[in-house]
Amino acid sequence: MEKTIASISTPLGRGAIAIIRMSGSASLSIAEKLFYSTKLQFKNIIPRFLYLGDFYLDENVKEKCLMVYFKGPNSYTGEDMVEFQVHGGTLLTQKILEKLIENGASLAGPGEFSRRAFENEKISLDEAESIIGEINAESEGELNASLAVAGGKLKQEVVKIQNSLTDALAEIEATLDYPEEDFEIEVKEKIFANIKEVKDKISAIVNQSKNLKYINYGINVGIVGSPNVGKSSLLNAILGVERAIVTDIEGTTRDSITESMDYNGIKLNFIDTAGIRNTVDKVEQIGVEKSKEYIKSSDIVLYVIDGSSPLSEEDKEVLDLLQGQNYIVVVNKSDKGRVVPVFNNEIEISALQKFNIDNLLKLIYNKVITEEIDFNKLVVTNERQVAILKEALEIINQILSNKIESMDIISMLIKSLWQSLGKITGQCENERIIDVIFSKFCLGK
Amino acid sequence: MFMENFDAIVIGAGHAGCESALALARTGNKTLLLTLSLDAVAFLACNPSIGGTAKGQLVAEVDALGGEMGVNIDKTSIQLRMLNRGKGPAVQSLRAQADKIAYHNEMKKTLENTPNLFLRQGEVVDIQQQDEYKIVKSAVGEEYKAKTIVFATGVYLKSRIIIGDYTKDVGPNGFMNAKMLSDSLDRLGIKLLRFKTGTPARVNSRSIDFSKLEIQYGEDNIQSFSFISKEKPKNQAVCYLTYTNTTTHDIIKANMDKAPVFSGLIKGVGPRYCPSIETKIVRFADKERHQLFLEPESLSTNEIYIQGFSTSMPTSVQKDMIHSISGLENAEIMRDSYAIEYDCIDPKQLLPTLELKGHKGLFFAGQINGTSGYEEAAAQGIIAGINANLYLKDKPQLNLKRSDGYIGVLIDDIVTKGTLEPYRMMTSRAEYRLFLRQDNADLRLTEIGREIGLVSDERYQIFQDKKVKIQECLELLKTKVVIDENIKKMFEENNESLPKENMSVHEILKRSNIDIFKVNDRLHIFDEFTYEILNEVNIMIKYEGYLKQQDEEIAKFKKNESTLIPDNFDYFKYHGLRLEASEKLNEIRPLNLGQASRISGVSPADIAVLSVLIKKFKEETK
Repeated sequence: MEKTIASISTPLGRGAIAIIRMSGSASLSIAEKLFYSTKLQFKNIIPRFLYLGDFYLDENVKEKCLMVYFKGPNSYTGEDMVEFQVHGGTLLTQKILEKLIENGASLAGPGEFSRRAFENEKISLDEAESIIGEINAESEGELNASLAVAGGKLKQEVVKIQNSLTDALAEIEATLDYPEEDFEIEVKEKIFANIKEVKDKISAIVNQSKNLKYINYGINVGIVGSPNVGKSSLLNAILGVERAIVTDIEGTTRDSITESMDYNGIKLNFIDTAGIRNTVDKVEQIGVEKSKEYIKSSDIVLYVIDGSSPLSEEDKEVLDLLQGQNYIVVVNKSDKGRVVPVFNNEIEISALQKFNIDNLLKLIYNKVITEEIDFNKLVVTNERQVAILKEALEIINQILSNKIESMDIISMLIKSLWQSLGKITGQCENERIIDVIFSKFCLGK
Repeated sequence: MFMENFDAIVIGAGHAGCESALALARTGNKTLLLTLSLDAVAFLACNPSIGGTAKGQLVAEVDALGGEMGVNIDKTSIQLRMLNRGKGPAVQSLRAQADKIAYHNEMKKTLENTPNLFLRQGEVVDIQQQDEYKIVKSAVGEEYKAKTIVFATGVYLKSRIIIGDYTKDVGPNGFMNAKMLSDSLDRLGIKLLRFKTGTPARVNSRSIDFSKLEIQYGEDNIQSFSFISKEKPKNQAVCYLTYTNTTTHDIIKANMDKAPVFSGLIKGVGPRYCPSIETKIVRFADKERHQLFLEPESLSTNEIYIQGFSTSMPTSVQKDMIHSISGLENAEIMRDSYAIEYDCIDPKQLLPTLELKGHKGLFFAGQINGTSGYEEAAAQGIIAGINANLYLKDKPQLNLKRSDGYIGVLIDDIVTKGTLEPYRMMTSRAEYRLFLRQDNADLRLTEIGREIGLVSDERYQIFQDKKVKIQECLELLKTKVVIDENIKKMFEENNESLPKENMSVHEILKRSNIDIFKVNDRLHIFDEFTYEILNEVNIMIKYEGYLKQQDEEIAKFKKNESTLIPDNFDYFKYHGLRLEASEKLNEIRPLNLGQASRISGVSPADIAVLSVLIKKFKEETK
């Protein structure tokens, strides 16, 4: 049976709506774990009917979206398929895809949906050639993620790692295939040292990748707080300070507009609650419910309070919501004399006086970007690569676990590690081991 | 002119030819086995040993299919060791010193006494096709007719030996060579390659000072090669270890201009894994010494083989080189070391069944296919014999997969990738080597041999008994063990933490430092089982997780193997395949998508495209 595959079908980053689809016999059961709609019982699901419901990204975090089910063979691929239509934020679509994979789907290979469609005779012979084009184009794209400079760097890095693994393998294999030769080296220790180095290298790349989404899509900064604490003047102050080009882009929630600025090469996307206030009501009434929503979709939250007056009940309620979140307490109106207590992670500013705004930006940046970004080092360009590297790290941990005694198993694991990394470099078969054995060691009778 | 009729003719009675002829005759085919010299039947022309890493596995597989090599070495081994003990079950291989005279004699006797098999001396000079028949002409004017031929000519095609500037057109050990057959193959349109190999000098044991040498003993109580051999093999001889030194190296360096490998006299491609001593010294200049094993050739001769010292230097230089070595200062040389060049075919012209593409009924096996080694030859020999038999009976051919055995790996490698040097089997070539072990070769292949008709009732019974015993033993693993003082001691002695409650034997075996033998030493619940059964079960439990992982990989591998590519598929008909890929695919003409994916220069994207095109082609030609 073919495994169930998933991918984002719409171009990344653009467009108000994105489609994520799955194909394969497990599509519906995976969807059932993640999608909830009051109108839907999965066992009675109607094919080709659009269901509005919530996609659960986490126990508490859900996203409104549309789901449609195509029952095989009446689908594009001829297999059971499920499509999700969601808001077009790139971060969100990636998260949904990750969720599907976490629950049993596999990432689709180049042209795989079309290939399945062809194999199940859903596409006529005439269309075969265009599919071939698609396969070639996508696999080219895959191998030549190198075209993007960073992608090329990753490939280089990983090829280097693969080569060092090949050397390690050659050494093991030489001792296994030539047990009677007098090798002077203590192979196992040397190999373990080598694997540890590989681990460090891969970990470094993965750590850098933590910043990947911020570099690609920016940091989402939510601004919450009671009415009249100065949220809108804060935003004005921020945007004013940098004289940033203010652009409207699609945010992660459908009903808000985000304003962005550039800070150290990273986009800061401020969720403009002031904007909502202006269009919805003259009176500020961002209640607890609304705040919740902003908090959830933010990478970091600015909790704004008026430092010159005591905390209100509502202030305290919002503060409770922030527990466990990345947030900064922004004590505004600091010039008017402070009456509120001192918070752990606070900064005093004055939006009107534009006091300390620069430091606030720095603080936002530092609290999110915990690993220093080195644009020369940053080599991962997409989540798929991160997933592959994480898989590689798992194999490495198994090798280093010290539970394995025999060299044949260690060798087997290093081989699967090598192959795993091949999904990044496109080198899938290691034909060099034997060449390396003979070039490095003097063997034979 | 009278022409003798046979069902099958096997040309060459080396290790490939013997297995082919026996497989054919034992399956009821009237088989002619032609050899240049009856004295060269199953001749161990180079080292007097059988087995070793990966090769031990090959012998076990040949044996499981009903072949002769394992049985024959068990009759004639004089020392045995299990290599790689302690490095894991996947890479353990049996290696035997063979009595080369006895080995030849025993195999010849077996051939002579096999019904349907006719062993005859004679040089083949030409092959002709007449409808579905092949006519084989011998140098003395005899003609033989058969529907199928197995070519197992070894290194005898236009071979010549080289010692310094002396060359002579003969086969190994001075046996006559085959001068005409290469041209006949050429006329059939077969592409030939020229390879080179070599063998070291033999010295008289009475002239060796053994007191200076390190002795290498065999292992006692060791198993035999064949699954049906009843007697445990005995160690009757020892080997010795010595080393080259800087004096040896200086002699070689001073005479490098006389070495044919460097002077250009030798044009054939030699193997990297079996380099001459002069090659070793050039390529690994910083190595101060190279180890040499002194191996007895037979219990009935004084000749000693100097493993690691193959050279094509002139005899006078060879003498100085040998005399510079500790223990060999006064060694009497009995045979010179020589290099040998020979014709072989490019194996990419063969199907994975060892049949020549486009020539039904012509099979090739052994060194003629560019391989090296007795075991590699025997492995191909039995497959060529089996497939020639299946061809005669109009049954589907046997195509062993990489997941079935080393035999599958070997054949797939040479027919799919070809080889640029004499091909030697190595465990690192097998991706499923944890599964492809020597100990379970019978479990993997006996059924196949039985179906073909090569596995005798006796062998089949032994195989079925083993399966039953394994099952019984696995059942016993469920036994709950009370953690008493006796058992506690076992955990402590092996540095394992004490279990909190009673455990089954199965659970105990999951502890990395405890194996089934240690458990039995304490509990004696497995006393009725042989070492082989316990070893098998121990591996099955200890490596359960990894074996399962390998099973999954094999299942994935088999998917592409089962997508067949039509015989007449046109790789140039459609757009989409890169030209390079089309050309490579067209050269090999793989049988299935899996084989296609292993052709060098064919990428995963090419395979995805190809899978679509195959479908399209099938639709169009429906």
